[in-house]
Amino acid sequence: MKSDNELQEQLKAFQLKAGLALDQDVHARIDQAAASPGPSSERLSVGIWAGKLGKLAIAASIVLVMALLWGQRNVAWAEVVEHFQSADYVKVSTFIKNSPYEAPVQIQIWTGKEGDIRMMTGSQVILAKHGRITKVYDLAAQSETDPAPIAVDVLAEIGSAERFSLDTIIQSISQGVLEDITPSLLVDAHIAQDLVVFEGRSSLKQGMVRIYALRQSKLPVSFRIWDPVDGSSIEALFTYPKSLSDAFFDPYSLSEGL
Amino acid sequence: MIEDAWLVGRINRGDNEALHRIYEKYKHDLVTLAGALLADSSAADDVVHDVFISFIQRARQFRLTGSLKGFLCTCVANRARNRNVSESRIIHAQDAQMAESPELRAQQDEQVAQVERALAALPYEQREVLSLRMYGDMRFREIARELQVSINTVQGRYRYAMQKLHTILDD
Repeated sequence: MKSDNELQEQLKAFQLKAGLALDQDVHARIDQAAASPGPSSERLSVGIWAGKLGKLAIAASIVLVMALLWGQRNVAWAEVVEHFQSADYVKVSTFIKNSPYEAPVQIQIWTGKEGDIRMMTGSQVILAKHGRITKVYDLAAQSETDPAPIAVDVLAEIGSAERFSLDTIIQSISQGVLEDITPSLLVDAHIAQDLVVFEGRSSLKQGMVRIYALRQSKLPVSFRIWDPVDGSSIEALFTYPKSLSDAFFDPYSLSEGL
Repeated sequence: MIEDAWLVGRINRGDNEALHRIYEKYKHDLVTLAGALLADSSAADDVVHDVFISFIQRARQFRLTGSLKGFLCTCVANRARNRNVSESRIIHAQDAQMAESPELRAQQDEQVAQVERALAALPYEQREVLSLRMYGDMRFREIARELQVSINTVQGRYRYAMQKLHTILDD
């Protein structure tokens, strides 16, 4: 008689694959849905307005939090956003893990003046301006290549923003997981005297979104989304280079260097 | 899973490329689950087709409150339950990519057919629990919530299903 494990293995051998006709029809239906805006565009605009109202609510709560914290000489979220805006160059190192057992996907993003962006993921270097990709090189193959989907996703998010800001960076990293950054200061988080912790609201059923900033410089240094249900996480480290040369963001200089 | 939350977030903002990715990510798992639930691999594609067409239609309003795979598996289970009518089982050969050689393919087809016949011999309630657990990777607690029965009932159905499969597949 077979053991339970042997039986389970036999049952697991029952693996079917989606047929070609199914593939073709579903992909065609998705493309049709993309071509016809239908009622969803109306709902989308409602969503945008809801988002604007949400931002108004955030602005109101920023004022409230600032007023509450005025006497405590604490750091408000608005100050963090403002100080981030004043940084000329930012480097964001992001680590994305879909499960605790997977190696993280790493994305590095450098932002410069006038919408310049340089990104590295895997062996790819991607240069972009205002979210539009200008060059993609594969360092291993020493040739131009197509951008990795994850890079396209992140850059599309950055490019959709009117203004390059901390909010843009965080939204692009979180790709919709983060619904709104609420400037709720975690007063219980006494990790260090020189660190403040903010908590955001995410679309995850459980889990948390936290942004860590320095108390003195008021610059964000770390960002973390964590889902305890499946152990997936997004972590980002912010650093602030004093300067980066124009050539660093220049596609022609990159190709010459290779 | 954060990757799924990413994709759903993009769909909500009208990016249909994310829909393509979700389909590609889960299509084989869902077809396998549908095939197991119906004990009929020939009807599995139809069920998954219906589930995805429905998902595409309401994707922009979809809000992820748990596991996306769990949600899609539940949709497949609901469709399969509605479709669960007694009919003669015709075993169809699966995708040509399944096997590298004709001999291996024939062997795999026979394994699939053997399991399919065994699953067909189970009462639907038992097959449903076993399929959701085995092919949908759902926990007993999740299955109990979906079927609106107690977790003891779910575990009992699973145990009876395994016992019966032992007697069928041990021969």
